[in-house]
Amino acid sequence: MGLPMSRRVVPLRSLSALLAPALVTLLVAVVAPVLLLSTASPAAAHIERPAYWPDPAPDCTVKPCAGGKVPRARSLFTALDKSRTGRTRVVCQGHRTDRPAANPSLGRLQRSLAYAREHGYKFRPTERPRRLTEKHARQLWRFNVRLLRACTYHHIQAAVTDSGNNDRVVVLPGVYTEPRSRAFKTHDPACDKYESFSDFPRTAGAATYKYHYYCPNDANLIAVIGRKPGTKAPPQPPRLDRRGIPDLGPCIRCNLQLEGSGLGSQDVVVEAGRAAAGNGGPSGVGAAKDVGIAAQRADGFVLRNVTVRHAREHGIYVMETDGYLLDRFRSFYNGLYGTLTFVSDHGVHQTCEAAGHGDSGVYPGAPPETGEQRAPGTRFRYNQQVRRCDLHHNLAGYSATSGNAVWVHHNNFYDNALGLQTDVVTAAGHPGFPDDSQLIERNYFYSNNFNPYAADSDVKPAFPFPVGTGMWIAGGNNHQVRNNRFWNNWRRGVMLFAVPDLLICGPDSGNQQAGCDPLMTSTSHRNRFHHNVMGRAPDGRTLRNGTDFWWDSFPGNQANCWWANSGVGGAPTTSPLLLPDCFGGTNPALSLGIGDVVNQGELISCLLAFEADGAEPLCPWFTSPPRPGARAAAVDDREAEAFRETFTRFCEVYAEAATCRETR
Amino acid sequence: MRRLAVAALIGLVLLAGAWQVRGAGAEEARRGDGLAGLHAQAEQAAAAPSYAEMQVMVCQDWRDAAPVRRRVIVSALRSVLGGEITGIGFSGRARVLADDHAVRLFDAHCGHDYARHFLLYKLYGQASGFAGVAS
Repeated sequence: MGLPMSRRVVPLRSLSALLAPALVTLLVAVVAPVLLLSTASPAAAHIERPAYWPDPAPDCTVKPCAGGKVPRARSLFTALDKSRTGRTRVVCQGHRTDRPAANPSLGRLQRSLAYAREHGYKFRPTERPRRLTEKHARQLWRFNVRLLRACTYHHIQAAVTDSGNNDRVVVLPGVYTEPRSRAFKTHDPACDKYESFSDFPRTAGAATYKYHYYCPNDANLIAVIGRKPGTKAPPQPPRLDRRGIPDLGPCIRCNLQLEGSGLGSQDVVVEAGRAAAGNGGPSGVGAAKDVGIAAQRADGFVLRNVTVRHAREHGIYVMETDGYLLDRFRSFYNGLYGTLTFVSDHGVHQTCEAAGHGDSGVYPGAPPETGEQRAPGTRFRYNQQVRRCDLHHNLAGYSATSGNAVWVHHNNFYDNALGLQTDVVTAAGHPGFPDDSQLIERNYFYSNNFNPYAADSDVKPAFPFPVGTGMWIAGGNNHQVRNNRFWNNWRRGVMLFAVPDLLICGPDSGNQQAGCDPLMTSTSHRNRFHHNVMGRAPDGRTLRNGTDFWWDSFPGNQANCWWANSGVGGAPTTSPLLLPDCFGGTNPALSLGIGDVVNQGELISCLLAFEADGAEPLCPWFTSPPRPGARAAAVDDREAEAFRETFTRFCEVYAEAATCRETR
Repeated sequence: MRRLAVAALIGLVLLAGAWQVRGAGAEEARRGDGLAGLHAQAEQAAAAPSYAEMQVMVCQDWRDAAPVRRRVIVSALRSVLGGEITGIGFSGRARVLADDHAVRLFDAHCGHDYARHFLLYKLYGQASGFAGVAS
């Protein structure tokens, strides 16, 4: 017989007295350690091994050869043709059924087709809707019905793992969370034995190629491991010359094509985080893995017609791969990058959309030296292209540290804080210093006024970039920016500045490497800006940039030229007031930086957060600039005086800094 | 009877606490006392972050770190970012910041809410390009 209910009620005071010792114990034993654990260290990401550029020659141990060129995508409609090279594995959701529309994959396709028949469809937001004919819709539907009959997988990774050279993985519409991959531990201690030293200065804990080979889903939701590890271990310490992968094994998944079978990339979603967030943010929300789709040494890799979202770091990660094509893809709200293609060659990003990234929408980092620093006797070539992409609502639309010889054309950069950035601000292990020879042409840079630094932003910005800017070159050489349009970027259209002191070499530095030239440590030379249209939209509207062209005029910088650019009412607006046009670009020797104290003061204030006497930094980059006009000009004047003062005070403290040493 | 109930409740709470801590994998809890936990915390503050940790350390981590830990972070960044930089035409070592300067840099940047996701190694690299010292 139980006690009457009233007897069970303990007065509040008595309850607290009763529980007090227990609560204290609980706090000490449980809550405090948990709090310590939660704040003591950040979630660790995977770090990469010392990276090498792949041999740019094709590997003809497989037929057709892998690498050596950008691979061509095979048509979806050939996927079930058994006479073709390679086997196709089909991934779907749900089960085969007599009523195809009752299958979740085909149900999703049916809805997509119905919508497209009525409204058209797009591969990226800024293109005009494409018309979907009834014939095309029926053809795609029937082929997907056939694919469903051939479907034997429900997990993309399983199909990839079973694939070999020249094979294809076709994924029917659906949101794929890959629960089996998620079930693998991240930073599994069982995989520690495959870790090695990172790049210089050789800190332990780098995930080697073997790490990814044996533990493919430790970091990655879907891993395409293209080759066996080599029989020889990579050299320790790493080679200074990064041409040629030293521990390359034979192809096992070269020329693999992974594609969605839907009408567009919205139909097949690889979800690395919280599916309920849809295509929205915040960046990396609910991330289960560092990377959505990784392709390592996967020469000839083609990824097509998929969306990848919410990975902790990168949506799509291509590394040490010769020959890749990323086509008709979308990437949303991954923590840092929509795509990271690192030390890869012969690659193309095309017809894509990337939004919501805390670093950049696309990032072709550390490409091979095929530009002005190419090996003697080799021809100049652009090793990668980014074309026909809409890169918006990121911290930066495009980023490339040590970005050599990338051709960036026919893209739209809008609603970012900074549309495009390329820089020399590198860390050890990021080969290809300094970046050079990018060709940036026929792009639209407009309305890059998104402020990710606002408290309510759904993008988590990882760096200090200036809100309201079309593009910047932070220390690169021999880049060419031509035939683009820049409009409605409220701070600036284009910025160029030097990063003067990043590198040390010479006899007093302890660095005896060949090629280390202390006279060339300042990087911002031979850049050309011409035939760009500033402040006017394609429809003829006048939508000014804050300032069209901005240069720090770092002392000693040579051969940077601006010519034949048009602004509102004639010449573009510039800071400083005169920029060298080098006789229409014909005589670059006429351009020599002499130092602009105000502009260098701004860099010091924003990149060093320097203010004398501990005062609040003046840097205006993190607030939305005013719309260009009289008020903005007044703000500029006030800021100019403050930056001049910043520069003076900085040089009183850091007289030996190159910025101060060289500026008279 | 009441004492028995209290003791049972405390026992249950301790049992639940121990179970949760085991679940969280906390080394100090397995040692079973608060002093050991504090000791572990001090050890953690003094231990250099791994490369993997440094790669994702952001301003919020800086704000959360005690002064001793901040010094350790700066020292670790100096070690890693002062490494060798390679290119075909160039190669050399990266300049570093004086540790006091690095502390001021992070204090200045990280004091702002908008900077809570800024990566420390990137801030360091940018700043050392403008005001680095030979090391």
